[in-house]
Amino acid sequence: MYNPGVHVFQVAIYGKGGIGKSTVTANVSYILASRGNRVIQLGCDPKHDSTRLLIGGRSQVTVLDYLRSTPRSERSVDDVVAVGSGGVRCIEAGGPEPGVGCAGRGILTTFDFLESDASPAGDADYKLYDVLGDVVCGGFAVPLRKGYADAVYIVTSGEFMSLYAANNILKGLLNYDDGRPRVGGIIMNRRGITCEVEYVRNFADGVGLPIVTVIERDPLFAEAESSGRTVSEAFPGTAPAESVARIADDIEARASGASALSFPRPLSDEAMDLVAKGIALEGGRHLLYSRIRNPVDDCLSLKSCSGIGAVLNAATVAGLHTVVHGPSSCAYMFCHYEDRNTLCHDVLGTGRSVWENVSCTGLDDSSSVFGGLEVLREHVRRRASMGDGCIAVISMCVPGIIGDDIVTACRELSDDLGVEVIPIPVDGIASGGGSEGSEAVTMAMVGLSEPYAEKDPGLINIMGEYRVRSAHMSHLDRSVEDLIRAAGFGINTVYPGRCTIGDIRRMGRAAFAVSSMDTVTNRPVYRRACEAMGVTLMRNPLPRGIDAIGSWLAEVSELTGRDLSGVLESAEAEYRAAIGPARRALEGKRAILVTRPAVDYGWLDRTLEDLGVDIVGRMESSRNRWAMGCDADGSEPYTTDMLERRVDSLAPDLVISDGFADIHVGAGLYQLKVPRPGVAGIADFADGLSRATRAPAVEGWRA
Amino acid sequence: MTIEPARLDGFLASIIAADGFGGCRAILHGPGGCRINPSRAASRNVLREFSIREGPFYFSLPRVPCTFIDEEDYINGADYKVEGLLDTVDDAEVCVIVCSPGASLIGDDLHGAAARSSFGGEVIVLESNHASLPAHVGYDAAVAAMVGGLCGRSETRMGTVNILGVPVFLDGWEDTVREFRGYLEAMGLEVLSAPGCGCSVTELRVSTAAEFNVTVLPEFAWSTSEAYARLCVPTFTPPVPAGFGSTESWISAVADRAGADPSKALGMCRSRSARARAVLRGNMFEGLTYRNATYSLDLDSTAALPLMEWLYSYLGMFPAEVVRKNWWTEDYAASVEEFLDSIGCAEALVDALAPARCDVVLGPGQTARLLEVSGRCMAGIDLWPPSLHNMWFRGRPFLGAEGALRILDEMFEHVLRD
Repeated sequence: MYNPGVHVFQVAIYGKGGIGKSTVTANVSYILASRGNRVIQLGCDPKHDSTRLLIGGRSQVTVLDYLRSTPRSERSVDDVVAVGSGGVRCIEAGGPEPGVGCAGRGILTTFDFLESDASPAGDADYKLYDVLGDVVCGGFAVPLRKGYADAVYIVTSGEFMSLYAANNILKGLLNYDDGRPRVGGIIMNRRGITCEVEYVRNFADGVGLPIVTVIERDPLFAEAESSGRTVSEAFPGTAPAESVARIADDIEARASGASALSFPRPLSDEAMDLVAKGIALEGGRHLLYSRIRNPVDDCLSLKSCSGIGAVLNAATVAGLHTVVHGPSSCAYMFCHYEDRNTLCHDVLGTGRSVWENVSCTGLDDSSSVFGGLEVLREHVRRRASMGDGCIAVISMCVPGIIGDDIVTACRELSDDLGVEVIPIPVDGIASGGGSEGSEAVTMAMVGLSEPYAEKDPGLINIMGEYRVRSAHMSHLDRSVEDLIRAAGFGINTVYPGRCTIGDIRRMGRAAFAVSSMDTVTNRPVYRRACEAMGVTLMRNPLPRGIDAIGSWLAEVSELTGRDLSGVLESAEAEYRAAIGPARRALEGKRAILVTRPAVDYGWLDRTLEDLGVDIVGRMESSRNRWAMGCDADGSEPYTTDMLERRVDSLAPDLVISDGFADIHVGAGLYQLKVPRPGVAGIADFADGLSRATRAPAVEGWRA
Repeated sequence: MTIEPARLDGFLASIIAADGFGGCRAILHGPGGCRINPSRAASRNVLREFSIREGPFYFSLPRVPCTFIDEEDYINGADYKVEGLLDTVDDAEVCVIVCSPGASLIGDDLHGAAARSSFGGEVIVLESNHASLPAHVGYDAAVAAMVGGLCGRSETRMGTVNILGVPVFLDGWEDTVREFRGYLEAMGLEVLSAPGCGCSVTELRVSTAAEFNVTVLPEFAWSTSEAYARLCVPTFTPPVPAGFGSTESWISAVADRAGADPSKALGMCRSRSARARAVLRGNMFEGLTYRNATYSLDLDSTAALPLMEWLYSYLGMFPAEVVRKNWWTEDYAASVEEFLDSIGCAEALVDALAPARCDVVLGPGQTARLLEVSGRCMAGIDLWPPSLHNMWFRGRPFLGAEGALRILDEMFEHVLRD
């Protein structure tokens, strides 16, 4: 029960933009105050004109402007309060300029600030929130939350869009249902359309709410406003003043418990269609819409972010500086994700580590409200002044959500500064996971490639040499380069991990390209990239395993007409010699394979066969929606428990696993990494597997 | 070339702070991409037995479960995922919900989600995410929220204290807490709790009986001190203890405040500094290695000034570069400038490191390591925030007398090795 002087009764007034919420709210505040109540009015609209009629038509400093200009340690809520007519204390949240930033975030920030320095509840009897238009996002729904609005009133006219907004507000209320009735009713502010009262009554009946008052159009409103006052103050006792006084009466009745509040019962789209057509609603036809709910599961949930894929891809290109446009935490996580590699990898010929090749705009809460483009512009200008001549700007979630147009900003910066500023708007998770981020960078880089009318058939590009990310490290070594040269190619560009911006511009010179390692996600990207440059992408990636070496050399012969049978013969001889010792240790051993999707394991079966290892079970360690369509034949859905059960039942000598979570497996655990291409990588794998059979089942620290 | 290291910020630090409480689970409301590193960092700093946790919200990693929101959730809201995650928590008495920078823009009703969930413990929601703010701001806010949300007033027990301001993100935080707990106990004070320094929720709840709190790094406890003040527990801020001299000052100041005898605690501290003194005096030629040597300091902490003072007065070292922090108070900045001016190094104050070549770099783990491995300094000393790159088996504090010994160990180890 409301108890004046002990707790504040909070009222939120919602409605479509321009429907008269601010006029209504200011009048109600004034009337409540004139009845001896202590009243606070908080305007939650970026245009910050809610309290204008209470403070003589002036505008006041907004909370967000104040926060932007005042150091944290000097802030006080008193500085943003203006005392208006009747002693109403007036606060305006404010917000960003139209088209930039996130006004909803501004409301959240305002409430955080007001809460951080909250006055005791006894300081007010009523607090009124005048909230912008529709409940367009969670920010504008803050006053609906538990702890804020005790009662919600909706201002509407008979126009359909106004009723539609009213219905959305009820949906918002339903989403914040805290188990208590909170809707006061509908305030009808007439626009003078035909059958207006009937339209509103039909809607009100459908949602089960009372019409608290009907405010007729009256020139006295305009007259009062022109003097910077409410009609209740300027023309007390008139019909317009009486119509808004009924709202104050209703609020006081609800606050005292004399009159009950209602639960929200929003209409379905189908029912709203009937409202629009002026057809009377029948009972039971107003179905609630179901809120979208995405499950969190291994298959659907994204465990990575395109930001990291993009950044770790771009940052390895020499001569390209990477700007993370987002919060510092994003850049920090990226740079610490693969510490050893980001720190120690010398970006080709520059003497700088990958880690030094990345900087961050450091967007904070203020940028979320007002937009981050100014921060980005300043950052890029500074980098350019430090000598960076080619800059990639990669956007994270926050600029994506608030709508920072980095494409235009980068173009303008390029023109202004005379340096190349390349936008890569992956927007954090909005583009998907790491692979999608890599893809975005690849396509942006390919865009820099210069056209070559004549291709050189003796040159080949190597695509996807990601030297920072551990799963892909060290694809190239001397033996692979020897194989490529033996096949008659000179290496043109090794993208992205061992190249400069200049190498990227020259990528189109080569007639051929080969993928360093295929996955289901990168293959289509390389195909598109090569098509864009007019370069032929080989069907086979750099070969892992002896079968793959044969296929790869055969394809080279097909493409170039070169006879490479001698190269294959020596590779086979080298392979047999390399795996011989391991075969002696592994022959007859039984293994369970745990593999990941989106990775080509063709090399593994043949190699295990040549080593004499018998595969007794296969499992797949994780799947996700970005890697669908690649389930290994015969694989089962995977859990660690399931693996342990299979180990118990099959008693294998080896568990060859690409799953990081298999640490509790005992005997013969071999953690699989995709080997380097060529014979040397397979030889390393075979040796490691051989050692796994001799390792203690459980190391001392695990026992 | 100027070094602009990616900074640990308040968002990540608040997760680590919440996870650091025994009996508390930090929950990340955000995308899976924001989760891996906090989960890893949490495992590095507060050691707990690793057990694989399968299923939604965990996906094998036990620490910092996550709502794994996606692009649709940014549009439609995802409080139901928070509710679903809370339903799965069966091994904590408190959950702290931290929103990622993106998730904080959705405006989800997290209190409502907590109320609807079947989780039987208490839920604390960090309303601000502190992205891009200094790490101590987020860390402090998380600890303050825990104090405000979980503690009530208690009857004061005279002669008892809490230790504040040793973040679990410091390498060797356990050693630091142990050292200062030892000093306090040697003065006859009982340490009830070390909120934010690895204590449990149970210990936190009894902390309001303390006569007063005592800080180590005060910036990590500014808001926490206010939260305690509302519960009638005052906070005492002695000099920041970095180096031997300021550690003795810390002990003396606390003893003054408590009306206790500092002699035993000072003896403990001096026995540590005596070891260093004996090593250096016994190896006089090597001991003079750092006389007139230069260092670069990038330390996001109020320990910067006492550390500079100690490096100068104890080893005779001069700053080549000291990175100014935008959160320093005017008084603190003035003290730094005054000290630098007093040793003729006024020009050393910079906005970012650009070390061409100095003898020692002290700072964030990655910066120190990078400059060392790339030959831009002789020794890189990992102070704060630490690199996640390494797992350390022995504590590596940098505060207190133990921290001074460790810094000396590493500085001389590098020199003698080279």
